[in-house]
Amino acid sequence: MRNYLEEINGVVGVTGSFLCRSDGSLIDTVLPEALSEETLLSVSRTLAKTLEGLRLARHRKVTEMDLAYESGRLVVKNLGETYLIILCTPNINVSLLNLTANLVVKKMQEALKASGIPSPKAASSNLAPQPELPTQPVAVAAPTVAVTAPRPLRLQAALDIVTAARGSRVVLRVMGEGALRLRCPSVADKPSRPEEEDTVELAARSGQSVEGILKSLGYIGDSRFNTLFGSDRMRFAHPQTRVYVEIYYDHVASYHRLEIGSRVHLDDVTLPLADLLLSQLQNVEANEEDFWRLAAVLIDHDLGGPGQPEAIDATRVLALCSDDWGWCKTVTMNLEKCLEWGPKKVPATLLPGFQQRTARLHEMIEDAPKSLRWQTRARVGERQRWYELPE
Amino acid sequence: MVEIAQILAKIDGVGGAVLVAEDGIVLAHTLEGDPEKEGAVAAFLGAAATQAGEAMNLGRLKRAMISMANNHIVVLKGKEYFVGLIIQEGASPALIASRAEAFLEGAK
Repeated sequence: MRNYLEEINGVVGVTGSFLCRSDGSLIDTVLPEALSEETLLSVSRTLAKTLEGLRLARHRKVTEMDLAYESGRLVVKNLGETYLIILCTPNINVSLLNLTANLVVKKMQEALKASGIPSPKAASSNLAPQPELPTQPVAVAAPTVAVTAPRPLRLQAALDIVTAARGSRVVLRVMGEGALRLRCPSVADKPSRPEEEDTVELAARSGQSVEGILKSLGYIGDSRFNTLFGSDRMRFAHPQTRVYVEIYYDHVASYHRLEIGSRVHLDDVTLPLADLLLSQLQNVEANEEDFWRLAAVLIDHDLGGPGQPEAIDATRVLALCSDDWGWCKTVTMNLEKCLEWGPKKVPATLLPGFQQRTARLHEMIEDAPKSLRWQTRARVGERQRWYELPE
Repeated sequence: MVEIAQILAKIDGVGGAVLVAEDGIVLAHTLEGDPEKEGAVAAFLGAAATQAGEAMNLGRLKRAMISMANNHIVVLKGKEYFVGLIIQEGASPALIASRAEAFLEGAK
């Protein structure tokens, strides 16, 4: 490749050039000696990541990048699996450069094809491939509704409301702590928080009228709250049973915002397990009780993909964490805390499965390709708060 | 900020302008599509170009341009923000960048 690079370096205004693979590793360089290999590697990796990030964001290959600085210019040509980077003086005639460079690029592409470069990665992407998802849950501990009779009053109330709504063709699903009790036997013997003892939380899609259904079951709406916040949330109470119902439309906003509108219909009774897990994983200030709830989902259910109601749909978690750095930060932080917490609290018989799933989910999140939005926010890091403070 | 975006968008050949903070927050735009997405592209490209320039001691970033088939995006460094300009097909990115740079110099 050296002779091609030297040919490019012959253009007036070119001070050097180098060729790298799509993972940023160097193939050949003809550059001023002042630039160390470490510097070149850092630059080639940055530029390779940028080209890949832009390709993912725009769904199109970036063919050329031209970066102009006060005392120099970098012209990057995308050759497919390799990148040609040309270092120039600031006032270079780019049209003249392109006349030579585009010819040389063609010759280079042919030579690269013949030589079999690029290795060592031999891949067009510098980002890790999407991890393979388990297709079948290994150990499914719980049926869809796991709690044995007699159900606590509020859980029975929750099921009654879901059933009544179904009869009216309205999709309501149990969420929050009640849903965890319905889906995860491991949390069934843990006490509820006092404020949760009488409360049922339900998820709904906006535009669906639930008032009539709840009224038919004897609930009375909190008219002031519902007038003020009715587009996002509604509250009802049952005067005899003293069960309180809270309806969340389309999203749950706490430390992070979880969009649930398109997820409500996926399972029969509760929100899908992945959303129940995410609603626990989003807690930036999780305490002992929260870790138990989080752990219960991972103890009782394996990781899986879409369409496996008794498994945690890992694609849902990955999609969120690959696009939103804040979510990713909190979720990975809590999974790491879980791995530390587990050996002290989780019974020995359940520990290996819990640890394996927690570590695997963490690894999958780390390995998943990240969106441009994610990468942009990652540059700011923890210097700026990445979560909201719930009311 | 909105005024800067509007003036830049009026340059011949500019399809839209977005002003974005270094953390990707869109400050102003004249785009009809998804300003967050275009803003992320501008912030990402601007930050990466700055990093590459610093590593090679090339001085302050003046502009970055990417080409995708017949589409071009120009990113300029403004005062504490990046400017992303979507270039219309057939227009000259170099000419537009030069005009936008001159305007931004005056705006500083």
